[in-house]
Amino acid sequence: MHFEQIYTRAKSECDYLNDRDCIKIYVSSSADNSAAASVFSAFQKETEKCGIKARVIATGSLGCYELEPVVLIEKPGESAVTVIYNNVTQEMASELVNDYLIKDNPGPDMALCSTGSKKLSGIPNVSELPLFKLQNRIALRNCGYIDPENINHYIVHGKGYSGLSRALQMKQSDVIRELKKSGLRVRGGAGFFTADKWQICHDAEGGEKYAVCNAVDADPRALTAWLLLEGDPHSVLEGLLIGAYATGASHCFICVNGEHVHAVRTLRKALEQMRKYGLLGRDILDSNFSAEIEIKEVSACLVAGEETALLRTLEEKQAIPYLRTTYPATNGYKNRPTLINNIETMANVSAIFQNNPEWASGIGTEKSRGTKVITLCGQIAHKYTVEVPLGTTLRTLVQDIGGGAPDGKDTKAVHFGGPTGAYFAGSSLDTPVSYEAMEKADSIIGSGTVEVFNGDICAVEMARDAISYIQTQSCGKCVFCREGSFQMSEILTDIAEYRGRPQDLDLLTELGEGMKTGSICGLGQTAPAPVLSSIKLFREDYDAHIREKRCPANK
Amino acid sequence: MEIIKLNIDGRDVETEAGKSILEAALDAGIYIPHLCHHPDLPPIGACRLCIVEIEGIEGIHPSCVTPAENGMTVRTKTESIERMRRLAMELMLAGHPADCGSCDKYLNCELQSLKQYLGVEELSVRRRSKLLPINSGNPLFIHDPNKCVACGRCVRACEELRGVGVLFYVKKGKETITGTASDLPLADSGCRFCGACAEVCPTGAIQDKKELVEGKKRKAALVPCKYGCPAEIDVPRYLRFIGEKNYSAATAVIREKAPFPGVLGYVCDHPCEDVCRRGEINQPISIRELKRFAAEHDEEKLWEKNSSCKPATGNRVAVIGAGPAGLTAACYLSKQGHEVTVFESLPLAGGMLRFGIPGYRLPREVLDSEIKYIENTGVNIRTGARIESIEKLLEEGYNGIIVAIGTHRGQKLPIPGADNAGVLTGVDFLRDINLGKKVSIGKSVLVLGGGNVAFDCARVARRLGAEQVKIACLESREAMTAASDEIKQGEEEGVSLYPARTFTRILCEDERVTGVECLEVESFFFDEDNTPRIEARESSGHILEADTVIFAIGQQPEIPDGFGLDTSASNLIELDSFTYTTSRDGVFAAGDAVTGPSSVIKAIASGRKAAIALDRFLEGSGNIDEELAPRSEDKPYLGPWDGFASLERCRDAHVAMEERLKSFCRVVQDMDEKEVENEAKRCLQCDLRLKITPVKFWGNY
Repeated sequence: MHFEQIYTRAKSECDYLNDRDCIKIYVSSSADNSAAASVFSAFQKETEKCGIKARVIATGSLGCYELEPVVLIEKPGESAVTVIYNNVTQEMASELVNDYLIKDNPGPDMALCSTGSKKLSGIPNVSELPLFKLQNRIALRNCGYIDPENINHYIVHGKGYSGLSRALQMKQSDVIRELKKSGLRVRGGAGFFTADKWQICHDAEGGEKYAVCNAVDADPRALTAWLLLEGDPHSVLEGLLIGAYATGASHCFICVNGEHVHAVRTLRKALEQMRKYGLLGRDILDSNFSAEIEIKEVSACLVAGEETALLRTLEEKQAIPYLRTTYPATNGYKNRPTLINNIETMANVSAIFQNNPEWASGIGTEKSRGTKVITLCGQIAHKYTVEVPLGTTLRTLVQDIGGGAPDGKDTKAVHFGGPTGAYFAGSSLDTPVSYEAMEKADSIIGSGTVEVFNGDICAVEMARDAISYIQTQSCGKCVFCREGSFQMSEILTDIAEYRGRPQDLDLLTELGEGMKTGSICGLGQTAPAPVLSSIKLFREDYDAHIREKRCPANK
Repeated sequence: MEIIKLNIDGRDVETEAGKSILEAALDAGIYIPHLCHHPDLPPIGACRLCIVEIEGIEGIHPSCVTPAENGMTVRTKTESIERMRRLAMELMLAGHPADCGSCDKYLNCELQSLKQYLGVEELSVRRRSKLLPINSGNPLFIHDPNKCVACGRCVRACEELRGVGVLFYVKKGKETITGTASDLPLADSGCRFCGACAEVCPTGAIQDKKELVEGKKRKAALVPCKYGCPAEIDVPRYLRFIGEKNYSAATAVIREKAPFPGVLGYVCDHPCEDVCRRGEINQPISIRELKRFAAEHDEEKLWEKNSSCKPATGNRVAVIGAGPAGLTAACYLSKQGHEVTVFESLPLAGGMLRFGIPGYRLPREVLDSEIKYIENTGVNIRTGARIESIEKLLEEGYNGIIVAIGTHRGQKLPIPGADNAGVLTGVDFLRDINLGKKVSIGKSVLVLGGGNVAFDCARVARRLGAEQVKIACLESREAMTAASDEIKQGEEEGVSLYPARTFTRILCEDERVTGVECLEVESFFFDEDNTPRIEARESSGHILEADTVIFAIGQQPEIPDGFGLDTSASNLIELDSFTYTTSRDGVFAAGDAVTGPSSVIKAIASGRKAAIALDRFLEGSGNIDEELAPRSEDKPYLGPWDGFASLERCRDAHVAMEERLKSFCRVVQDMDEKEVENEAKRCLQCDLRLKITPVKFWGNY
């Protein structure tokens, strides 16, 4: 089938999406929110009872978990308007049908905001809320706005698979060139330019090639993979197919956390639907590109984020990284050239090809184009997952979007980039989230989590907990990561319990430097960052523990 | 092959392209400390002891995973390298026990050696005890995780060298060690028990169980079947061929050390099975049965094609006695180019193989055909030719002589009644039967003795129609020297056992034997002078009734006075155990006449040694080893096998009891080919371990 044929069929199968007489009610929440199901059926029952022409659609999460279930009511017509409600209950559902759909009273006291040109009195426009205003959703563009279990939604609403169609009409080298123009750097890892990675894999010789999407949240607090798989799997799968085409791979793997049962189910359904449209198998979209995608369930752990560990998992071996002498792009799965990108990168790829590279390169900073999905956690008022342009400062994320510390306390530190990221002092949160700024701060973009600690916390305990977690996640293969993190955890425990010795800080620094250069993989090389940055930022806390045998946080 | 040049520590070094800096340095005799690296395993760069600096490339690099490149300038000792190396070592030692002296790996431990090399005594990091339990529940190996430094060699050896992949990095609380998934016992994990893990472990974390190796030479401890075989037949190698259904190659392997594969397949006392390491897991491999199957299915006769004789030397050799020792010696001497004549006093060749071992244990056609092959090598066997004088042989122009006359004189106890006509010796009884003579025995036979000869006599007596056959012996049942399958088959055939008895008198009535008066034995042992000490139980006298009594309590050689050889107190030929020479120049000896009654395989081994000695005496090389089997490609990749450990030994198949007693037909039955393959594949292939490259310590550089 051509793309046009698919598009026409998708449109006819979900004619309600473009039906100007049909009201659309999107019930958005994470799959584990049981309230969403009852709200969904309440809307269905109520609209049916009242004889309203409406369609209730279950979508994935928008990332504002504490507001869920979030309901978007889109009223068609000349001046189309969408009103967004948060924490909707069954009772609110029937109220909204009667008040808003029948009587046209949008209920400003219940509404969060509205979108569209029409101003509704008492309801702020979406552009007035920092949560929405500061976001620019590319990877998460469809999350919360489409039915993830219906490929037609992706195609009709999100221009889905038009990117693949466009790529397949280009030469492989042109696809890579176009990606290069977008300036997309891989999300996670060392921030390599995605196009360069593709180019190496494209140029590699050695028979069959493979394309792999790492769709596991190695950092369990980053919810990116989970959100995308549950909310918009096709944007990832489309990106994966574009990558496979550009590099010459025909066998693709998508690695997912086997414990995320719902995500796996959604993904499976997505693949079935793709096959029906000829988006898998032979001669995809009437091109001569053929590909298969295989779901690989893996167990999530921090080390699963390492390409080499992931490759070993694919080969049914223990997830232990190995020292790369060559890139997986030339020597990966079964020693064949293998493209590996993570889920966020793949979701960006499909967006770039659905639009154009210039569009994507216009967002972000000069060296860090595009956006980054960020999850806010720790001692912060709003624990959201958002997507912001690269270059957004930590302050914006913590204060404007996250609302600062929940009880108005000072923010002492922000731990950015996941377990192996560095700490930033609460007083100087002007560091922008960009590859160049993070490198300068001896940290990483990593998983993009922002963990906030308020003034009550002891810096030593904070660092100890961070390194102790890493210690449990170290695969144990290399001496510096395994033993270095072990020693750091012991030494910090000693310091926290006032048994520290003056020379311990030098020892921690020496261990940290050793780990940076002496570890096999990125996990070990970045593992000392929390400890080293903590010592640098909160030296007085350490000195108080070691020399005065007191903790400044527990006055 | 491209040769590249690099400079290491100021020395120009040449190496092959593709080698790592570490390999290039070690090959050139420049030592770079290393621990996780092993010459046979893929490098992983985990321990960071082998770090170096490379001019023009920033940082410190693990040399085991950095390819050597043309023109590189490498430094292996700088201040920053030393500092980081030391820290790496300290980190490894932090959780490792400090009391090296109490470890069985002491002085043989790579970690200890490296610790000394780096001079690490005091640690700046925190020391700890892992306090993990030692796992001694597995057969063959003992695992002390407290000594594990997680170098991952065992994991790689298991996964990459052997393809078994049952060892992993595992977490024990905060500690990382290596072990099986979910801590399964090795037997349940799919382990092949090849020992590669223990071989490559640089510390005392995985070791062979002490009781299996202590006091033994390395090869004898690790491949006991081969090195426990008196003739050193390469058991694992031929079992591998059998597993591949290449019976001809298997037989050729056996024939590299012994000219009697078929005979051994029937009657070898298989010391290899007694020490087989598979026996530690469940039951030993049925090596003898496999050998028999291979020998009887050798269609191609590869060994014959690959066998060759050296050019004639002009020397003439006389071998006295055509038993297994004499024939073996004759066979190899003939191949060395000497003209060999075997003199046999009995009418047929074979010695005890023919005149001791009954036909139901060793079919005569098997023996005949193997003797025929020996004759084909050019050996001249003269039967019915009794030699009385060595002098005469020398006068006839023989340049060398081997005396292999066996032990054909049976012994009786000097007790009243022993001279009665109804009292026989086992060796005479069996010889007469095998000569086809009519031997009259009664209905009730009592054999005195607990060895294989006693069982041979008893079982023959059953076949001759004796209704009641008893065996009585001095030893307790457990201490009987007869092979266990002999005892089992004898009992099946209705032989009753009376162990732990001493005999005081043979009772006769009217010149006819009526029984033996016995006492029960309270204790029986050999004192420090090797004199038997027997304590009889008081008032335990009783009578075992019999009309025929056969003594099977020992045999001695019949050495003609004309031989002029020194003999020992027990009337055996005295031999210089080093040169294999007797008291007469040019006269060598082999077999039972030297050792006393022993096994076929020992006789063969002794024949080989005598042949070597005589060949050297005749100014030959003394090298009688042959390469008869095809050189097999090493296949160290075993692959995983769930349930390997629980594979049961094949059943012993025997002809039904009723059938057995009707004639002297053979007792063992053949296995089918599938059973043979299954049994051969139970082998642990312990020999593969010896092919792992030994690690050189820094002192060797």
